[in-house]
Amino acid sequence: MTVTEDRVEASGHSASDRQVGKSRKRKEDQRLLTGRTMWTDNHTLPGMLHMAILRSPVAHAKISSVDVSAARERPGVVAAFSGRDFADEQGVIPCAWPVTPDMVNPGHPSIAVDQVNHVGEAVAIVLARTKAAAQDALEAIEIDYDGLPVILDMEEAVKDDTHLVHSHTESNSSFRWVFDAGEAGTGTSTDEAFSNAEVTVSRRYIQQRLIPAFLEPRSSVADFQGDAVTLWSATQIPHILRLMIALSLGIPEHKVRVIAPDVGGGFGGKLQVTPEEFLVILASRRLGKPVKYTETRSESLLSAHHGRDQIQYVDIAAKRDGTVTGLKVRLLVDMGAYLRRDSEGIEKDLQRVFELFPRLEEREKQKAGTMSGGEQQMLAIGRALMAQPRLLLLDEPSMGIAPVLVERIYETIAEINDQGTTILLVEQNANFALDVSKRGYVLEVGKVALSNDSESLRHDPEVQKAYLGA
Amino acid sequence: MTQINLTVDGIKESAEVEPRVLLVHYLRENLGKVGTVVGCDTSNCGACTVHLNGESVKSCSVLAVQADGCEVTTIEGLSQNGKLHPMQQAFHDKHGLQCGFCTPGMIMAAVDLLKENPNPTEHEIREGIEGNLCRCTGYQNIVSAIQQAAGQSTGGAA
Repeated sequence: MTVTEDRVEASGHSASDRQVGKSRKRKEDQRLLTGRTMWTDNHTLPGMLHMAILRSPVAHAKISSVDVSAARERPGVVAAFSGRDFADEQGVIPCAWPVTPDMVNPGHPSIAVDQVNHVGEAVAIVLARTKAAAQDALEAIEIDYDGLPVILDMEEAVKDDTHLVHSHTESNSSFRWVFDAGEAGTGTSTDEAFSNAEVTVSRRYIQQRLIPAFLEPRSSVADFQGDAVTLWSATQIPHILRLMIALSLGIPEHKVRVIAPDVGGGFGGKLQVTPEEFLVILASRRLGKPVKYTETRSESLLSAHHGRDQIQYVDIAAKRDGTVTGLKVRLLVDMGAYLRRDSEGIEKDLQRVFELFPRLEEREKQKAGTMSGGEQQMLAIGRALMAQPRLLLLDEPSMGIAPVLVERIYETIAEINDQGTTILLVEQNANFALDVSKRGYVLEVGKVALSNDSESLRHDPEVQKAYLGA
Repeated sequence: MTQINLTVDGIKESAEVEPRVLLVHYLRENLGKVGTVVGCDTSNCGACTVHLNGESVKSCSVLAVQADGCEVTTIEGLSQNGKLHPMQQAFHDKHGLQCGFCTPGMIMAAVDLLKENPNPTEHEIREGIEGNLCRCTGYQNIVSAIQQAAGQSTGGAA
């Protein structure tokens, strides 16, 4: 976003004072022009280690053996790991965008454990005092691959009797998504347009894969301290990244801080949650040191996200004068080796929220701002539950809500508690609060006036008189 | 290790470096001159451009030992007494940058271009910065900025 220097004046000025259409100077230029920019790669922390990644030179293979021990002997090298060292804790990289409910997702590890599925996939990492030492040590890693079949043609890849990229899936096809403008009401019937067409034209096009080519290579610095992590990353999506790290690595969301400093272009290539971001976090947690990784341009071209290549079948219905009356497009899209969707995690959490609040599933497509107060309260609790909290803090969930919904919300709060989440509730409706809670504290002008188990408080004459309307 | 002595942005520096160390890595990692950035590893992008004895070079394609005895100017040494260099000012005035990653190299290349050819045509400017890649601007405003710095009228502000 570009921030401009001058404030737009209130209306009531002469024509020469008009602000619309006037050019403005950018506010952020000073540091960009003088070399004072905070790119992620500029960050250095005390004791920081540099990470280098060994990447697969082959597209499809079993990793038959991997030995990083010689890399550990190189000067300046603090540690070296293969995928097997992180197999139990790395989780899967989530894809926050399940396109269809039945989308086939093979699951994406940050670092390959037994099998590689694309050229450039991470297979081992080295952590060293300098970037050069880390990169030098990569050559000492011994790794053997047993080649698996490779299919180079997208149409071959989705045939029934072909080799599978991932042996645990049933097909190389991930999902099929259909949009019919006639049915959606954004256009008229395509079939009708084709049956009435004066001319029809059919073509097959091949669209190449695209590389976003942001000028700043991707870079991340992770600093794991205690049970919390701070991640600086050249990302376009710091908030999503934070949530996805929490979900995938099982770190509570409030223990994850993501900072996106100045970012040198993204062009859609920094809109994803990436293996490298997970790897710096895993390495920092394992070694108790800050860890930085900055890719080379060659690594970026090999392993950063690309725009998908497509085979396009296009049919056009038209009149003789050139007016287009109908369009059918069938796209075959190369989704790559992985989807990066946390199928087990996100889906499970979402199902749990929908089971607790069936009303939210009914309102799935509705904008939150147009929901009733009670529904918004359900949504707020549901959102909090997506982060799998051990403790849920609720501030007056009954405030301004229809009594029938208050009852529903309190039933659900009790259910969430039964499922093992601790709940701290601040509530002026003492009846409900004491009903669902195990222990209560009565606050008066900022001081704890009474505290006891909820059952005793409920029968306390003072409480009954003052709060329960007895 | 090889001993080198050089001046960087007016400061005398002395260091022992491995012969293979690139000038850009020496600047960034030894001196903390992180204003100069690395955009590629093939000397394509020009983001690391600095002046070596007044001439623009891609500092990823110069070894630190080659800069021994030389005077290096980076983007950080361009503005004097808190005042932007006319080229920096022109990039600001003409909106010659967006994300800013190519900007240090682009400005250093442009300053050298005008030193060689104080009054270039638009075509000469485009040829002069062909070694520097920008992904955001489409180059038009960069060309306008260089024209402004050359004292040429470029019509309205960008």
